[in-house]
Amino acid sequence: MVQVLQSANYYREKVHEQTHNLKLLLTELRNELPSSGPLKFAAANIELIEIVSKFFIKEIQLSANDEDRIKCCKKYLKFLQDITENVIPFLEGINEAFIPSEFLLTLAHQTKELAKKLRFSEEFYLCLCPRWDFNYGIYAYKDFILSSLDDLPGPLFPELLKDFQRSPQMFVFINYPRTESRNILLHSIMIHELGHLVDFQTGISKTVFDDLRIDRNSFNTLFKKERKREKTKPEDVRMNEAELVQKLFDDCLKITEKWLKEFVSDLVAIHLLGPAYFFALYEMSILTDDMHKYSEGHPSSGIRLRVISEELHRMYLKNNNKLKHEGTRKLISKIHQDLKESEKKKEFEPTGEAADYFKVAYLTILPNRLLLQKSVRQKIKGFSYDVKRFNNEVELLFKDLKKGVPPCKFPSDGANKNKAASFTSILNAGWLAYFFGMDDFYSLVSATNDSDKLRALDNFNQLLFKAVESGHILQEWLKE
Amino acid sequence: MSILTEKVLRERLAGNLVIRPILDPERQVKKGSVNLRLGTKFITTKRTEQGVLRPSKLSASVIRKFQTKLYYRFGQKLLLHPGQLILSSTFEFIGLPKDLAAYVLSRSRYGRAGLLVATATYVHPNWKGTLTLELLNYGAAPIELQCGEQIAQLVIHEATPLEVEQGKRGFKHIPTEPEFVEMKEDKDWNSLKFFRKLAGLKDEKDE
Repeated sequence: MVQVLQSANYYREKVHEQTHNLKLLLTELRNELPSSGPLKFAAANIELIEIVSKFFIKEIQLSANDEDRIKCCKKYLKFLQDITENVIPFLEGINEAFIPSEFLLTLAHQTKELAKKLRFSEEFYLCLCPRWDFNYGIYAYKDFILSSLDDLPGPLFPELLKDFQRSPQMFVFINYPRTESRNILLHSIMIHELGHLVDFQTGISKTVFDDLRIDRNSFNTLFKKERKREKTKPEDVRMNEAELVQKLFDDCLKITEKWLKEFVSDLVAIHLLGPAYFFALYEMSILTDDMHKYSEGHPSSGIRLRVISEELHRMYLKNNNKLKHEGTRKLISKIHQDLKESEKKKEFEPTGEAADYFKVAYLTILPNRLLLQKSVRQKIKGFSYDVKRFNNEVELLFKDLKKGVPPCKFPSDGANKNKAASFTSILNAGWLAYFFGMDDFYSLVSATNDSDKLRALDNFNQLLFKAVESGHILQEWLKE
Repeated sequence: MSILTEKVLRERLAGNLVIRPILDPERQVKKGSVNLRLGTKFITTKRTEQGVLRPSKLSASVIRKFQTKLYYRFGQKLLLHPGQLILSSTFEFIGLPKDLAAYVLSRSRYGRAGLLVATATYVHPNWKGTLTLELLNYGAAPIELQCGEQIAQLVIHEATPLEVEQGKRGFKHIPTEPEFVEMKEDKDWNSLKFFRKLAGLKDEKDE
């Protein structure tokens, strides 16, 4: 009985069954989907399964014996499982009434504009994906599929990989915390995720990474400690010095590379969005309490804020670049000074477990941050959200918000006569109102107690979402 | 109180009358009215076994049982079947000053196709928000609508300036999407309850 259940024929039947079921499920879900992005995504998955299954059937025929056939089936079933676990939940959860659709449309538009200006090589479909963990993130569907397909055996699969890599369609998922779905100001963080896309396409971090040299002192300290630890291991599993150096070097490079990508994405975001990104990252670091937390994938928020505050200071407060709004100027300046002090006192230096590894990455990157800032500046020159635009646009929109009107266009007089307000200016006006205009707004909607104020904050977010949607549509209408 | 003419409308739009964004001012601002577009958010009412909809006692928790929220893209088409009611809102955000009031009306071509756009049509002076539209197909054929089409008109007239005492009327919500109005306690209800009791009628349990 057991042998029957584990025969090649049995596996082959299961493979056909599972393929059929998954295709059916995707087809059913596709009928319910509201818009073109997810629809194309579902269709792309059905197509992918069809292609992979065709390849698979050929692989089975080419397999030398039953053992190879079963191995092949198991891998394929794992691939289907990956698709089921990672694709279906996204498609099931995509009711556009509950994701910030206004934001998605504008963000997708921004991405297209960026792609045009920076000459991205691929066509993007942006999808927002609500998640229960309190975090923002980005992942490219193609990378996920490639890693799943990578596991598949057989001589035909490399061909399939090549085909898939050549496909111009790229689905990009931006995750956001589901509980903050209607918190438009915090969604400014999504621009950092777009920063990853810019970095991936332009190779900023890769170029800087090639120029970096691992910090010797901190690496020696790490090596000495690890050598001591290594000596306590049994001889048969112990690495020799050369092996240990190589391993530590690889580990440190990996961390450095990942952190570098985060710094670059932060710098891209500060250029694209200005102070709104700075405030959003600050708020996020408070909400997640990671001002001093380091991980292999991320430097602490404290040092990230420090690096972008330098750039923001240069863009908005230095020399002729004077931010006119006094409150914002003082706020940015104060945070900038505090972060500077903290760095001086070495408060951001990694501590705790794995600190020695993190210190190497920290001391490798931080002394080179000027190079990093300069590289980003050069790459996205010409479409940085500068202080001049902030001064000309944001305060006008801020005035509308205080009056309870969605700031989607400029007045019929002045330099911006009847122009549509941009997504970036609306978000900055939102942050300004959040810091300096909420009392006016509370009084406008007669919010006197705490529960009224919470409802007023919801209402404030709704006005901003409406402004983002209307501003985007007006902009496109005027182009038309 | 006179209705604002095209010339006055344009002057007031440059001042404290807010209707935005008006995508096509030439075609939307006409003699005595402003054409309003269909927005992108909708509420359909679903059939449920959980309770009864009592317009006099609408609370958020009851309303949610009957609602399905939908989002359509600007330009996207939707079908309104005979007898179907869908709530939507104007794409434009309206802000009336204290000395103006308005009525929102169906445009005649839509009315003749069997579409009712709004029933609660009066807009108070000093009101702000997107207007909730009650779209009802009272004809026999399905009606195709597009988000963004000019579906209603706003007729604005002068009013005696309203005296508003800030903070005395409780929390004032500024709508940006279609919504049911949550009813607050009404003194009439107690009086009517008294009459029911007098007539020996029982009250069903509120959901």
